[in-house]
Amino acid sequence: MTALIRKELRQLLPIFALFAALTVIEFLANTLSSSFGFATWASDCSIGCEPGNRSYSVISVMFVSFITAYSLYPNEHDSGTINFLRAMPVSRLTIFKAKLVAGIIVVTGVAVIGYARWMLVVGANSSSLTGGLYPALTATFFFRDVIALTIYLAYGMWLSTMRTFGFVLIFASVVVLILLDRARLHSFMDPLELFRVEYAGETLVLPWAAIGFQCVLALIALWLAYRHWSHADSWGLSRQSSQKTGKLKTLGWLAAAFGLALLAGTQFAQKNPAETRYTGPVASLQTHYFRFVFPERAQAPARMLIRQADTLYEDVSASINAETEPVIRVDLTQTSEHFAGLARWKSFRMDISRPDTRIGHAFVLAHETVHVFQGTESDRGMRRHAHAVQFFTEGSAEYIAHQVIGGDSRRELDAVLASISVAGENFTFAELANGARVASKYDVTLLYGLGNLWTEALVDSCGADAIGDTIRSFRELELPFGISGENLWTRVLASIDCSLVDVNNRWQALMAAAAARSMYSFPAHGAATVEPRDNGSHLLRVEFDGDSQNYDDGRFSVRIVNDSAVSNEPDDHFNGQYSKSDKSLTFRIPAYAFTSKRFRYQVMWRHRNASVPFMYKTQSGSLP
Amino acid sequence: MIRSSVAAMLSKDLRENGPNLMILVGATAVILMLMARTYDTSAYGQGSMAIVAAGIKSILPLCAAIVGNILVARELILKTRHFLTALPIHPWVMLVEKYALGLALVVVIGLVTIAVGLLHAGVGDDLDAPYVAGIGVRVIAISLLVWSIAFFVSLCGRLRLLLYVLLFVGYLILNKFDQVTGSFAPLRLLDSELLVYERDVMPWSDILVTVVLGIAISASGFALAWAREGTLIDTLAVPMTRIDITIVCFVLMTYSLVVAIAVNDVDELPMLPSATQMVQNETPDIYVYYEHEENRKEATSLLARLSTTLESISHNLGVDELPLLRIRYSANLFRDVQRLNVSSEVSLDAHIAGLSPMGMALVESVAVHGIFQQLTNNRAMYEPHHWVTDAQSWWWATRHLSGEQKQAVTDELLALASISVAIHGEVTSLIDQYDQIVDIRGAAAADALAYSALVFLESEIGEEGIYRLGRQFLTQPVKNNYLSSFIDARNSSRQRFNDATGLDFDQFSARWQQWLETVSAEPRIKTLVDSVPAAKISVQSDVEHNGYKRLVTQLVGEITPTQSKDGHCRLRHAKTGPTRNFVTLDGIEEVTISCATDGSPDRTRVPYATGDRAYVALYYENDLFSRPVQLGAQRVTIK
Repeated sequence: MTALIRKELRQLLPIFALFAALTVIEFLANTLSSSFGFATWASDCSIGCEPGNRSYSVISVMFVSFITAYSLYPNEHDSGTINFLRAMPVSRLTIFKAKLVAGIIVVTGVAVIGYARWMLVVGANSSSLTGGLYPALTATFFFRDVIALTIYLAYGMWLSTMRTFGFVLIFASVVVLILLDRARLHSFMDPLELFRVEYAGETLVLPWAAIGFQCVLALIALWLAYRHWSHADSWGLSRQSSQKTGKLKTLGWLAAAFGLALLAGTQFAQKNPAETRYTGPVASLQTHYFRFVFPERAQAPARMLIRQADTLYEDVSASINAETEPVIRVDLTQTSEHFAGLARWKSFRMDISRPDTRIGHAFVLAHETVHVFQGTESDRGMRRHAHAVQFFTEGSAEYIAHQVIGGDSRRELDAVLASISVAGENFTFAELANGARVASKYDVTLLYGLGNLWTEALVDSCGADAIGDTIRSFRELELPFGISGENLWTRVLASIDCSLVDVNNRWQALMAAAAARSMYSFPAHGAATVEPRDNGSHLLRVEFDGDSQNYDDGRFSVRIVNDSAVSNEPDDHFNGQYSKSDKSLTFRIPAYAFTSKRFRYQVMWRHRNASVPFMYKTQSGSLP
Repeated sequence: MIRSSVAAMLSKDLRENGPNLMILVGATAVILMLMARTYDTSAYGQGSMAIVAAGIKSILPLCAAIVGNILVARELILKTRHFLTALPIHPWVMLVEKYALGLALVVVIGLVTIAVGLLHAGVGDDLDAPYVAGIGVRVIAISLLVWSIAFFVSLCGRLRLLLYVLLFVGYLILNKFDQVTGSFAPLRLLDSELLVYERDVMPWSDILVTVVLGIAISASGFALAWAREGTLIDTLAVPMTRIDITIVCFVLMTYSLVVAIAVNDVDELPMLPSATQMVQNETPDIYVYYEHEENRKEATSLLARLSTTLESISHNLGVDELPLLRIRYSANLFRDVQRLNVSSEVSLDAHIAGLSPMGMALVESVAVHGIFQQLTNNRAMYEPHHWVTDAQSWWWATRHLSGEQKQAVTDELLALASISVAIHGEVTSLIDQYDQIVDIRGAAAADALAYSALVFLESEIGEEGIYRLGRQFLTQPVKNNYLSSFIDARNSSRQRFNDATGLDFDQFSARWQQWLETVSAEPRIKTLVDSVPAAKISVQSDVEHNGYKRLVTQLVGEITPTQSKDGHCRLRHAKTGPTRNFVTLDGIEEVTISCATDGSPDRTRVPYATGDRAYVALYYENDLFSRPVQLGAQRVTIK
């Protein structure tokens, strides 16, 4: 056995050397581009070590494990050397075990080298607080990665039985995983859950349920791999003897795997469809600037909208002095609970089945038309710095749509609710121009209200042409990737002879004025508790002591943040009730909304006539 | 003859690989249908043809690699090609047949993505023949390019995996630099928006460039197969020797180094000024921006002070060229909050109107701090150097203050330092534990301690000694590479201190703290010190019977009735990770708590979850200090 392991290790040496070289390369690359002794846990592990995140080491773990696994058996069979091995007085199980042990040694060796590099770089920092090493934490991360490497090695050994088609299967499994994730699979079933980072104080909490489940699957994978490899002939022999049987076997395997995947995916996906597709008869209409497709059953609202469409288009075009004249395709057949309109390049979708009250259809049409113009006028330039520009993308669309359609009362409500959401938070422009941060800390809808006010400030400070000029400036400006939002906007506005400070001062004044006009007050909510109920749901109770008379114009809701790593689906919102006597808000939440014991939530209040809710910051909670 | 040879080869390849290739196409179709299903059910689905963009970007390259592996690479690696060469068929015929078969398959897979899109099309997708044909043309052009690359790489035998990795990394990097993506025809053609949502404009020039590029890469593949009379591809197909592996590693290293340099070569652009009015000084270059005429006086005053200070720094520390300094008046910032940005120049956002002498000195010290950071390429922030940076920043900021103002600022700083020592005890080492001092005692106390050390040092060795210390620590940039770091690290901080001052740091540190004790007994300082309670904080986490999480805080130490009456105690808390420091805290919440040590703890409900870690700091505020005084801080794990 020991001799066999030594032989396998000799065979895997080139692979190990390659991985080691990659680590050394990364180290060498650092020697040229960074200072030694500056790296800290806080700076070098800002994503992978943050609580709640899933570590991105999953990609490297899969890469290392699969490459190692594919180097164990397939080559041996292709070159026929497996026959020499089998001629030796050892069982096929012993050969399999030797290969497995050698594989584990190699992947562990790769992990050792990776962590050694990490310890060298981070350990070199003499900083008393953030530098140095956290031995217990490092050891737990290492232990977790070795377990993950071993599990994925087992999967790789099974996948290698299918050779290159194993890679196709990996791809298919990712798609299935997304579908399962949409169906709210239990977190321990998710293979990426192995990499979720949670702490109890300073201790990394290992996801034992996920590890246990994946270990069972890995053992099954190993058994399947053993069954295959111990019975498979070498490539040369198999061609002579059972070529047909082998192919049929492979075909059967693949058909079964894909059939299962298809079945699972379809079934799970149907449980929780986010969209409803219209399949009935449709009609289409072409105007000068638009081509509409709409359900025949919605002829009346569609035709009413289409009648105003060209005028709206011209008004939007005039408001930004547009130089382009895109023909826009509009799909009015979509129904969605998540959006009223969704634009992509020169087309957009609208949900015309929604009642034409709170946010009018004409308003949505104008808003989405602005998005199309933003794309064509900037030649997709605004897309390059999406997070820094998102507030303006949405804010200017809101502003122009309001200019074109009217609806001052809703505009006022949006401005007030957005402003009081950030009142007292020292919310700066740097934060506004960081869409990802706003989405994480608050919610992306906040950008609509605050962006609208900022656009108003832009027009007040720089003139009515400023919106169009700003959009077009993105066509020419070549700014480096990753430039800060504030720096970017300083340059953008300078290019149209405008001052960011002026605009921001005006924006802050508008926000302060809007907050001062508010007839609603939302004192900071307190802590939250979660109680399990008999029917499987949970009762989320949030400490809140407000003036109940004000809240009858809308309703409270809570957003449970979807922390999934694989699907980018919208979060769940649940309505709740305010009890003045209990000084609390209560929300009944179905169990599926909590994918793990720790969760993030956000309390909101939606006015019935506003499109932007009042929102508190996102907070963290835990199930009992 | 040729036709029959091609037919025979085709028949052989289909017989041998037909089932595999059929499975590949079938599996691809299934995956695409699954993907289409995810798009259909997605909340932000963008129509059926979105699957084409996703499929072409992700599945097509994978399939091309698999086809290349089956048709080309395996034949080379398993040496079955040699059997074929014995046949009366020209090697070119074999290669052309494989190329054509592979191309056909990849094009078919590309077209399958369109077919799946069509199959999933909804009634609202408004599909028409010209639109679908347009997508078809683009997909065929991309398929040609992708297959050409796969064909070429497959001919490289054992090196193909490495080449795929390099190509993948290269593609990711190109995507990172969007300007490159925007100006490179094949990548522009692959743009998710333009590939399937552009109906009106057919990008013929991009298609042409992509096709030409595909043909060129294919030709390179054929040239590779022809090289050394066809033996080169055989050589590439043999298992790698140790020398080969060494070469591969070398190539990888070179590639990574080039990539690392390219990625790091993107200079961060300095912040641009953006205000309507400004006052300016030319040498040193300082701009102070403000919006309203009524702030001109403060801006001019700050400019004058900074000009004097920076000129003095330049002259006394021997710095020939100081970085450009821009200060922008930001009315929306709190008076004690400044935002510093250091690149090739230094920019600072601060509230400069209506500031106390201490507030003005704070703004100036932060500006000087930024100058030192820029001069040293951020080495000034390195912990063993940081105390010198803070100390010198304050020293220079207070140096040109008028007598009374200087006295007020110095008194407050010395009092802060004394309070810190009274509460937390003596400072073990400014060099080795400055981070911890800032973390527990607070940034203001750390500044004060460092400043007081410099004031004492000045009394020992005079102004010239302070200049030497500045020259030693704060004027030499250290480049961003390991070699420069190692050269810089040859001299320890203690040694540098000794070189500059002629003093042993530990002995100096002991004498400084004795001096500080004496200073704290001076009436002016004592009044300030006595106004602040010498209390620490003790924090625990508990859970109420109804599940609410709480912080249970207790003041430990003495608080006089006067202190309790004249000041406020504030608790600031924020969620933190196990490896985070005080600087990276976000979402700090503040509550007022009882300022008494009568034994009853304060209980504050907090919005944290079990297992979260919270940083909790206690501040005391009264009229004698211009900023809240941090009495202590602690980290606690939420139960």
